[in-house]
Amino acid sequence: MNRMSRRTALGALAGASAALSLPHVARANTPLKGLSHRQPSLEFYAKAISSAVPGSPVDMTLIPADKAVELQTLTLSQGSDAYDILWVNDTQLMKYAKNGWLQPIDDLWARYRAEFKLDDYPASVLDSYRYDGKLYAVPSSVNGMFYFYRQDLFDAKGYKPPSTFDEWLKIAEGLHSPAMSGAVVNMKRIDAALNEAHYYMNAFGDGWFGAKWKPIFNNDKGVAAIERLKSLTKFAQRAYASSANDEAMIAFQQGLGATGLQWFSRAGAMDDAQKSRVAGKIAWAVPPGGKQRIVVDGFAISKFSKQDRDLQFRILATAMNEPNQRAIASDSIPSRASVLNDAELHKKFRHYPAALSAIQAGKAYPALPEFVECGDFITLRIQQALAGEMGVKQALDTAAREVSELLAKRGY
Amino acid sequence: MNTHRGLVWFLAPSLLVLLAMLVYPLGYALYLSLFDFYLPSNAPKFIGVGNYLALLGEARFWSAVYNTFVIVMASVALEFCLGLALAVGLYKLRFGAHGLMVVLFVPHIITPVVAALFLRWIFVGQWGLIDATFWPLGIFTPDWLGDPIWAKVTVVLADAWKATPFMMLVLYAGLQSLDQSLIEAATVDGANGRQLLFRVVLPLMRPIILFVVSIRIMDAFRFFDTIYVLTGGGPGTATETLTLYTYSVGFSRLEVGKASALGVVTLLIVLGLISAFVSFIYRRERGRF
Amino acid sequence: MKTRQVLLFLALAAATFVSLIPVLWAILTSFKQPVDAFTIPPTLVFSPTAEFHYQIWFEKGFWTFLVNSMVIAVSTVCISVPIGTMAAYALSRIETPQTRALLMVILAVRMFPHMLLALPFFVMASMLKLFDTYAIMIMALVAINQPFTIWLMRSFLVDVPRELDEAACIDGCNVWQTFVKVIVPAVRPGIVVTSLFSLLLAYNEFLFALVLTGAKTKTLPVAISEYGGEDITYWSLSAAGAVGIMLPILLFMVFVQRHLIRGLTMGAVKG
Repeated sequence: MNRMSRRTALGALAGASAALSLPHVARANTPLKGLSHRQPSLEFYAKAISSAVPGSPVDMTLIPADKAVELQTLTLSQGSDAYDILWVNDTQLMKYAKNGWLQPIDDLWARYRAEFKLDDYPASVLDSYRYDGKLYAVPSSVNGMFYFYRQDLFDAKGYKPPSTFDEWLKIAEGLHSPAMSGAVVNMKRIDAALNEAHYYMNAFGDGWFGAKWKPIFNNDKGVAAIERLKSLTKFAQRAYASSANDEAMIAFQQGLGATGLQWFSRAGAMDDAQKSRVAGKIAWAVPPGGKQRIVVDGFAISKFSKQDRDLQFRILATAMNEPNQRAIASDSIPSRASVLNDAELHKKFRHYPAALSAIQAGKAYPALPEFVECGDFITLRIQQALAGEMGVKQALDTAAREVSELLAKRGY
Repeated sequence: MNTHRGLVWFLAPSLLVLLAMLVYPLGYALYLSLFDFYLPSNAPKFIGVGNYLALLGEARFWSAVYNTFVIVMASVALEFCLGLALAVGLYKLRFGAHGLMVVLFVPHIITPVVAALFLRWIFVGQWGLIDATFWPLGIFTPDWLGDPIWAKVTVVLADAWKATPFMMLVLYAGLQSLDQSLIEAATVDGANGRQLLFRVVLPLMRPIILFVVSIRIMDAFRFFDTIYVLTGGGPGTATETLTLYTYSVGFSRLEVGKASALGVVTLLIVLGLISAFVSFIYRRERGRF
Repeated sequence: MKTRQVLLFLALAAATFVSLIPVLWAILTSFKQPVDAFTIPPTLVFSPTAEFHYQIWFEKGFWTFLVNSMVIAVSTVCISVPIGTMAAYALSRIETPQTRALLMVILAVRMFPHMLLALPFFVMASMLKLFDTYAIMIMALVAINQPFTIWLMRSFLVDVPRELDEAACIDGCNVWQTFVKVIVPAVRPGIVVTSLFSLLLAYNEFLFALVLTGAKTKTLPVAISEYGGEDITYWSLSAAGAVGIMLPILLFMVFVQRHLIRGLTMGAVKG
């Protein structure tokens, strides 16, 4: 290319980009916009939302959970209508509702009850989407953690799924080798570590808080609970402190992990031979003592949305109707009773029976809108205890003090 | 002499953009750093220098400062040595140097978010490329991300992987622009290779060294994506740097006031470092940097 | 002498290979089925699949994001480099304590953690009703790019002898004509180098793009980050995306290679 033509090309490029960089003229009919976390079942629901009501497409943005929460917080705190429809789980919902960022939908729920067979949702599922007595979101699925284990290895050594922690510890020790982690532990901050700690604190401690949100997780039972976690990490995979769900999933799929807590939504993929070397070899159970985390996923409407709220509700209710929940049942446990209790599905997906028991045995996060913020302190201190930077007691005492200060500042 | 009459106006467009886009955000951050501001509350409370005092009294802050210094110093030093070695090598090579340089530059062009992921696939335990290659041979590699010391080393290696090409390119340019007659004179005087490098070449390259090292220090202080993806600050607090701590305060806990104070403190530390560095290198030619 | 050259070449080639391992590994990953991607020992022989590359570009709409990225990156360079060069020219010729202080202040912007600029940028975008437009993204990137552009261009410009300016002045040029006709041609290689670094910064920027762009202006780095995690299939997609995002820049590098070397060898970045 000679100099002249290159210059012309550059000029044309600059001109074109200048023309393109003009602000988009707002169209009369602005499409709805949504923001969700991306995982297979939510991706399915995002597609369902985009095509739920003909003529009302929704632009769904799907990003990893931490980024989704950041972006939601940033835009909502500024009262922005950048997103109309928001993926939420029960913990976020409380926080957003407390800050006045979501629209209560009780009236819509009543209006469309018959049309969308909304009575099909169990009361327990809906309760986790209420804040201050008001309902804020349409649930898509129930998710929770349960105990993944290698059936073939257990059979070979005559192990049964453990009913106490000490049994689990023995099994982990018995199966541990450099090529096989006895337990897959995920302590990456904040999310994965808080999930993991939640189980220990509730199954073996007295839970996180006492009356009036006073931290009690640093009492003797709480310390003993985290000591248990610490004893299990002897048989954990390398660098468990920076491991999260993805790493755990690869470890199981590549046959490198024998036991561990992981989500329902990741169980189906264990049997997919394109992704997994252990198809058919993994089985599931309720972890010793239960009380592992359960959570409800769903979608809410932003308080700042300027779009028709009836339309948005109808979009959500359509997207989460019975046929759709059935269609994605391999990757998510349905929230509607009619699908959840369908015996056909229980036969079709191996993990369903264990998942249903795990829902019964599980425990949601405390109903504290600031819990994840507290988790920032808690998980850091627990990580320090696991890394040997401080003792477990000292770590939990420090975290309890920090959490008390934080909650005092928030008006508790 | 009015050669440059009206030249001051040349600053206008750039300063206008900087004013429009950065004075507000920087000023806003400075202003917020004086408030106790929990983002969702929308009710900032003025507390003067309270955030700064709180930070100075925190063990976690000082641990972050310490980690940042260790990681920044180690990675900039490593990048400088590697970059210089590569640059000198390329300078001496009489064939294929330009081709090799373009290929060596590739790690620098990779989008940071993606680069961090690439490195995770290399360093992660068990199924990461290094472990997966050596374990079947019976060679047990260090616990790259799980051991407090190795985690720091890995983070430094990761930064070096990404930034050495930049160092190399600029230092190579510096070598090319050296006055050949000085080098020839030294050779005639009987200087050997090492003497030539340390007594003649490096002193001549002071200005370029200043430029790259300063830019790298600034960028390394803002180093975030890679650490976040590789170790998330762990194990414990072994790799929690100032930016990771800022993220934790500002994005996880939404304490925007305190996070802004952390940003201002970071800025002051870097500014101090760079000023010291500039005045050290130009102690005889004040003001000309 | 000849053997030493060959040894030197081999040493440098080895270094090049080592530094390329993560990239090569990612390229291999992008052609594998997830089950083969992370095995022990690593799988080197497999039946390659272009499925993920196809999905990224044709089903997930990466073409649109590439166009957005290009528009934003090219516009940023087209604005940032000219105005930065002008400012750098002024700063290289007017040497007073004020201009030196100004240089330091401009540089301070590069020292501030960018994540703290995300919120104010978003506030500005909402106030100006520019959220999800090219304009706000370009403005933000131009501003973020200015310190580096000015500093790098200034180091090229201080090396241009002032006699050139004076000669042009005597020939009757005003300061603008001097700049355009004499100074810019003299530092053209420097401009190429500066443009490359600015382009890299603008093309790869993630945080501001995440906050300031929406469905209409989403850029490639944001699009790729959307596949980070949750399901192992996404990792193959991110590998394919990551390889895809490198190609345009790589092509550009090869295209400007000659200018780059010349730019870097004309006594650049001398301070």
